[in-house]
Amino acid sequence: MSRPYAFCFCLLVSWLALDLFALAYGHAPFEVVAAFAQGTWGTTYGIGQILFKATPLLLTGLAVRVALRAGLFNVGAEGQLAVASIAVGAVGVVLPQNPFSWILLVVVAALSGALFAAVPAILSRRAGGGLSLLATILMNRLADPLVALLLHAGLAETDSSHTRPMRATLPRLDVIIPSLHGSAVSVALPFAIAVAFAVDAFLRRSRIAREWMFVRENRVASAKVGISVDRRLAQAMLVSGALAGLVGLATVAGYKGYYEQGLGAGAGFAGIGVALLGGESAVGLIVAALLFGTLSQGGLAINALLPREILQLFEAGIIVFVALLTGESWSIIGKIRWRKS
Amino acid sequence: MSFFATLFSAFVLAQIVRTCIPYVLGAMGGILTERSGVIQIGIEGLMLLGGLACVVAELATGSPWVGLLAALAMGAFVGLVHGALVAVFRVDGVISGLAINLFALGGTRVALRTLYRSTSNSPSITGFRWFEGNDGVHSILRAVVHPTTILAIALLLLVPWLLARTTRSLAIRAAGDEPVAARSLGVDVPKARLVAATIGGALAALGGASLAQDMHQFQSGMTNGRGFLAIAIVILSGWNFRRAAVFSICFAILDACQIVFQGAGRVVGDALTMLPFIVALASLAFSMFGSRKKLEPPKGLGRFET
Repeated sequence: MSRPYAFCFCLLVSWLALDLFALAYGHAPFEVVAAFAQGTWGTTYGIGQILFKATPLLLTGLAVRVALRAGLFNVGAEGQLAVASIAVGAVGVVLPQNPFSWILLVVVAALSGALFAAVPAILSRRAGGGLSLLATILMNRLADPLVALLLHAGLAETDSSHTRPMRATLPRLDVIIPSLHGSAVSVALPFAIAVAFAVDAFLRRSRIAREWMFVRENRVASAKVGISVDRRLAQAMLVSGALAGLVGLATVAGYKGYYEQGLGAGAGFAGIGVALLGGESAVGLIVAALLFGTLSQGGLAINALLPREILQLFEAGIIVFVALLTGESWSIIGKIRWRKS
Repeated sequence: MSFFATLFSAFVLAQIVRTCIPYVLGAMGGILTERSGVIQIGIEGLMLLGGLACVVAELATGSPWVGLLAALAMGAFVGLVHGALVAVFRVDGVISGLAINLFALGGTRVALRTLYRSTSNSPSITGFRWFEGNDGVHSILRAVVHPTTILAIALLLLVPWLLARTTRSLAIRAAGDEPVAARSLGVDVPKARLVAATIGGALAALGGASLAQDMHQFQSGMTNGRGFLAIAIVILSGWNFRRAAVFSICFAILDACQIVFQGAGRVVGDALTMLPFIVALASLAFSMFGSRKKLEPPKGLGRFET
């Protein structure tokens, strides 16, 4: 089944599932669906919030996609974005508010994300996909206490659980589009879209991306024709980490103006769904990010009627559904031995 | 009290015994599933669901034994679904496993909010009231002569033996090592994988149940990465049950360090929370870069019979 059909099918099944959940909790299905629609695409504030929530999802979706291009599964976007977010928060405090600082924030976010992906990158060089997958998961679990440690060790403002307010923040989009007033969407969104198209072009046209694909398909043959397999694998993981790190721009620099623990959490895992549903094209990823953003915002809209965590079940369901429907399978584990033979 | 005196005190020893059980059972579930060729990274989710099923069933019926049974049933069901998705419908095992983790995280919260009107934890359960008493001897007895401990040790002796010595389990090992050859010899590979994934899921969920029994309630996200460490144990052990048990004890000792240094401040506490994961990553890296011929996964892991 092709991806657009799978997308429509997912929408249909989600809608039915929402109706069933509504009945199970003793509400009229129409009431819940109406509340969902009203809270998401029904108001300009809702649309702004969807766009705000779609920004990290687009970036993490891209991160997962780039790693998948080389056959690596980056499940560690969650940790990479947490570490990059606190780095952005810490650096933003000392920078003045001007466009040059914004560029510096982008660099800091990407570098810190890539740095946190370095361990899986190193492991993927010698050990292959299975181990780097596990390494990204373990790094996720490492990120939470690491961030807490950094906050407790002095980055947090005294008597609070967040970093000091930043001076260099990204402007909100309501400066340009006044009707989005009140929602948290910032210029990080157009930036993320630009990144999506840049990555799309890079995946289509660059030699590195082509070699990533060769490595994914057959590592031994790639090594035989002179591709440095180890280096390409590590590069894919580092680029993926850098993309995940950019999330810190949307949440910390674009919205809160400081970092607090848990800010942006969940986007890393949802990004896997975005990547699976969106495919390799930038447009597909943007649409998928909007869908997952809608789910996340819709959860808040129906929270008075149903537990909002139900929408998390939808994310899990969509991931399995898309994998089932499109029949894609990339993970390196099945194709390639763990060590070069 | 000096560090070593605390580390080897009766309470801490009892704590080590109790905390190593979820690791042992989780890793056993993972090893059994993967020995049949099905990738299983949903152990964290299985443990959460098992813990929830255990607590819900015990609160409903009042019997901890029913709780353990419910955990087994829940784990078997989720393991069966995972096995069916991977072995029959050929969904990528990684994706299915991640979906289990996501589903468990959200699903347990939905259940907590629906059943107990709480977002963080369930009411507390009494559990098994054996050897009640506050001194060291009782706490060790309570940990060692605990149904989940006895069950885990029995399973640790039984499952490897069954897998290695019985004709029926030969199909599971064949499916995991050479699925194509197994099929050509008439082995029903998907069926063998379904069986292994179902039993493996039940084992992992039992690990979650033992955690819930230990904490006397269900807390949202209470596994706290133990399921992922169990996967690390699976790999470090080279898919070997007995070595996995040894590694489980090592990780339980690392966990116990957090209790020993409890009063040392928040920064030390955070650093100690990181410790098991750092050790896991470092030993994975070391085992891959250092040794030459160990830690090969089952040859058919993630491959299909056609």
